[in-house]
Amino acid sequence: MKKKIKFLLIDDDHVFNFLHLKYIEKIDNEHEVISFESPLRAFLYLNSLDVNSLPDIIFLDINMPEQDGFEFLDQLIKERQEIIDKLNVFIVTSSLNPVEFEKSKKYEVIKGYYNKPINIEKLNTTINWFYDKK
Amino acid sequence: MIEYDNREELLERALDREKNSRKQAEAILEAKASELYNSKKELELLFLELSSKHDNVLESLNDAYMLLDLKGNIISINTAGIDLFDINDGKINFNILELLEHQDSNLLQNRLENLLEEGSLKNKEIAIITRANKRKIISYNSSVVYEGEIPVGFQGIGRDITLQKQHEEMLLESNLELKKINSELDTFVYRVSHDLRTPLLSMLGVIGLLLDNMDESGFSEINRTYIDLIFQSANRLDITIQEILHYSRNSRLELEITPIDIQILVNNIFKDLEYVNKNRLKFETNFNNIQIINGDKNRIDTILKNIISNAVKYHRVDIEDAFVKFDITEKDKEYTITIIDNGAGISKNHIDKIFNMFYRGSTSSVGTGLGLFIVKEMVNKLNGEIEVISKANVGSTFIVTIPKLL
Repeated sequence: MKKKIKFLLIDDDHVFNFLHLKYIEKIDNEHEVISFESPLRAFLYLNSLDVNSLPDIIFLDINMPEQDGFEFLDQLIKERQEIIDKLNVFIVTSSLNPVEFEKSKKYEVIKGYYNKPINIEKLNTTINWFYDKK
Repeated sequence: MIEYDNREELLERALDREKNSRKQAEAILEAKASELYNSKKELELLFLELSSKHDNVLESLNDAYMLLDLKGNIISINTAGIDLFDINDGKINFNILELLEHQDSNLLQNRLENLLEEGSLKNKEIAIITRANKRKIISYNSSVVYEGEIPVGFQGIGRDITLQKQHEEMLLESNLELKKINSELDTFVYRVSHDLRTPLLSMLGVIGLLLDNMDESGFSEINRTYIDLIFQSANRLDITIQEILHYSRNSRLELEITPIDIQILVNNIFKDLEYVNKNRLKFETNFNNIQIINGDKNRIDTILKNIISNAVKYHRVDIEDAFVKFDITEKDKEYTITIIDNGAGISKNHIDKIFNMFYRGSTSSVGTGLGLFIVKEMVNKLNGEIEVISKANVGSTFIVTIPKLL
């Protein structure tokens, strides 16, 4: 049996977190989903985890108050260098700004870039990518 | 005696002849000498005339002219030069280096040395402090003056470009300012479109969930229609926002030329449309071995996406063999892209207006009235041309010609 996936959703708009949760449940409600509206709290959460219980897939919004998605990643890279290689971040954004898309290519930890909302197809692609990687 | 007399006579005659010929020679010599003298006079006059003309030329110059010795001391200077340096006291015998600020004086010293080696310097600029304590920026050309092969001095022509420089600086400044405003506006447009789209996309997402659940719980058909209508409206609003973004970007942003794989680009457009198309139309592509072209990727993508998605949107449902054909050919200096469909077509009374802003062919049309307007604007930006041939209920052909770029 395939390992259940642990998702971490970070989006200041709770409707998207809810939507993404529902789509994940539709595919398999055994998957674990944790969501945060605050990137700062998401960082504290990640910081509290030991290396073996890190989330498998992170859906990260870019435009958020407090800290944008890139700043969130910069802080992770700076303060938790040792776990960065173990993370798989997928940007999920409603921005059509090509500057942000280009910027995301510079982060090794970013494995994909999606325009909102995530649908079943994109979700399946992401999950298959994760299993293939294992 | 006769013989004697004869001899004397002969001698005298010979003497006379000699005298005459000497006189003649003298006369010739004299004539030659005076000729020479005259021509020398003429030369002198010519020379004087020339040099006075030369002075007049120098005096009539709007540019400053001066002659310096090898140390930089002024030997002669024209009126424009006196004005340039604000020499009010008429004392022109000073060293050119005195007019310069310390660091510039070193610079000029270096340039004079450089000038000796090179023979001439062109289009140099230097800042001076004039006799009236004014700072001026001078543009000058200079060269070495030789006597034989030995350098004896420098000459230079200069002009005051202070105002011009100030204007240039002001221009640069306002250009920077404009760039800043432009980039702020760009960010603003993205921010606004992002903030408008975000709630809209979450609505679309929730509607999607609702539709999925309906399939399971068997909602009434009428409710399904209502939800569909909400979905269509929300979707249309999103397309409008995206199109306004495209339009605003096109009018403000410069072309960004990169190599594009036209085959991948077009195939992706068709792939994305497959979702709406659901295999109703046949998609055909004919690349004629053209693959990499240089161009503005975002604009070319938007142009083709708009035309092709129109063909999908307005295909005829009453025929079996509905199609969209993409074709690209090349000539020396241009690419010609042809997109042909056998869809609804455009009637004569609409065809002149389809590229107008917010023009919609009919109230039933699902578009925003911006799509083809943006296409036209973008084609213009690419220095290309667009042409449409269409007949109602037969189909449309869009021909886009874009110049080849290096």
